[in-house]
Amino acid sequence: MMKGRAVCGNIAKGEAIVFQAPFSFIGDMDPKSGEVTMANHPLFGTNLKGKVLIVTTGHGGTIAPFMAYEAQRNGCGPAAIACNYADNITVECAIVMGIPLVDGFQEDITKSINNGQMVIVDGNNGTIDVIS
Amino acid sequence: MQLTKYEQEMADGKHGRGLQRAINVLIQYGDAVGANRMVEIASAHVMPKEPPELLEEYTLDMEELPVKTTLHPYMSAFSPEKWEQMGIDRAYAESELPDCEKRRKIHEELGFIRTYSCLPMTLGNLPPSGSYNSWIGSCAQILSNSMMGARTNKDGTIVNMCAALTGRTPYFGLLKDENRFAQIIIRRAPDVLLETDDDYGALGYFVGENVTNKSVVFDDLDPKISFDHLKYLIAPAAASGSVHICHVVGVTPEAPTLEAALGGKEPEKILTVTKENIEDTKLKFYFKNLQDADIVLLGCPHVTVEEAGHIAKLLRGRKLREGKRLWLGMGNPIYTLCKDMGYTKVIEDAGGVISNGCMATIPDSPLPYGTKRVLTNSFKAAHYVNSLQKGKAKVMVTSLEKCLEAITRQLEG
Repeated sequence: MMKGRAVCGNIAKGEAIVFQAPFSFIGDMDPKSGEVTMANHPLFGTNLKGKVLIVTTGHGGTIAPFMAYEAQRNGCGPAAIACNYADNITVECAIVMGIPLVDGFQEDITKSINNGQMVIVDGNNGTIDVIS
Repeated sequence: MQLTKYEQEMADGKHGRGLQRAINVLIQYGDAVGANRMVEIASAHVMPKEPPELLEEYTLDMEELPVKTTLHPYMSAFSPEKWEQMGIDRAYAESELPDCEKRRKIHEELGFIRTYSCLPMTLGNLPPSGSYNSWIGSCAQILSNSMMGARTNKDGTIVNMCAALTGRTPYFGLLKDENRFAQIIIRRAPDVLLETDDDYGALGYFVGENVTNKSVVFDDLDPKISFDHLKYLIAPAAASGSVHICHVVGVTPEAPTLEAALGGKEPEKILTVTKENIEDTKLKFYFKNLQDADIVLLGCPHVTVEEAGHIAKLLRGRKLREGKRLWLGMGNPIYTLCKDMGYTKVIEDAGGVISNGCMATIPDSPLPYGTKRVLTNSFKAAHYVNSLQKGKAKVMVTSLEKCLEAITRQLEG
């Protein structure tokens, strides 16, 4: 189990989708389908619905929270987010979606967890646990 | 987080379901960013692109807004009144219009002020220096903090909406004195001349590309710099990067002197911008022949009355060449004023369309079908159009005068 900072939300379990890069809900994901829209990215087309998003940080976009809200409303938002550093917009998105967000681990979280592993994110205690 | 009695009551649902939702978002957000209390805001400026369900949910049981709240431009350049003249695709418009109508109804009921502009300070939303606010739009945020000293954090659209509804925002970040000083001094090499909009824009854009999460101070600009030049200088610094505040010595309220802007501390560094830096920045948005532009975008940030007068003067006796388009972004009240001044007739007779949309075309850039080359006087517009078009259109920045000359012809007789 890795211990970081509890930012918001409760507990969620899901398959990890790992981006070794910053992520934004505007431009990187289609809020209507949940699919990744980053052109030329190996994860292009991957659906984030119910997944645990593992990213380095956010890359802004003040309008991103509207997109996050829409994704959640459409039932295709992620189940949780874990990142190295949660920028304020990512914090806002997680709060609005009502999902757990954790950050501030000792290690680079995008390198400690592999794409496809099942993880449990605890937004109350700031932990992430790899279960398979 | 320490809450006042009234804030606690909102959180407990005593003032309705919408306010309960909104204040609880602010409380959770405040806790996450390390704020220990809320402050009352003097004004809000919000983005009319809300998912209508969100607006409905967060305004349940509300009757009116607690503070002056202006509206940002219609987003993505789409304007419910002008989209057809602008050449925006019908299918796109028809997908947007129902939501616009739903929002409009709630905005009217609660008293959102229908400015539709990224320059609310030119339209009566002019909070005092030192006041706390919540403004949306990277450009409105950096201009409010820099030009007016009216403090706003770089809130996202929902924290911003919650602030407008509750009249509160968590006290942290750029609201605090100690986080507002410049850390970097920006100077120009002696041969860097600032004459046209694109000269100022290139300087601001270059600064944005080279400064991350800091505030800067320009200490060698002419104190007589115009509002429009300041706007073209400062807005792109937030688009190409993450500059917090651009102080200008002798011009902006928190920079009466260089020492005051730095808070009496030594700067972390002095960034000297060279002529080559400016030329390289201009080449980032470039295509060979100006005359090949399909469309000219003006008004990012929105066109002011003075600018509209200048544009009208340049367009008098001229007309758009066949197949060319001209879009100007301008808030509703400025349009009315420009109509009174006779400017809108000249611009519209020449073939231009004046819209209350966002000329950076955020977030989905609905340029008319087949647009291959976009010309603008704004580095901010160039930055966003270029990234949102994902290679479908080339973008170039030049002066206002050259933009208009490129797509118009002299009328005969």
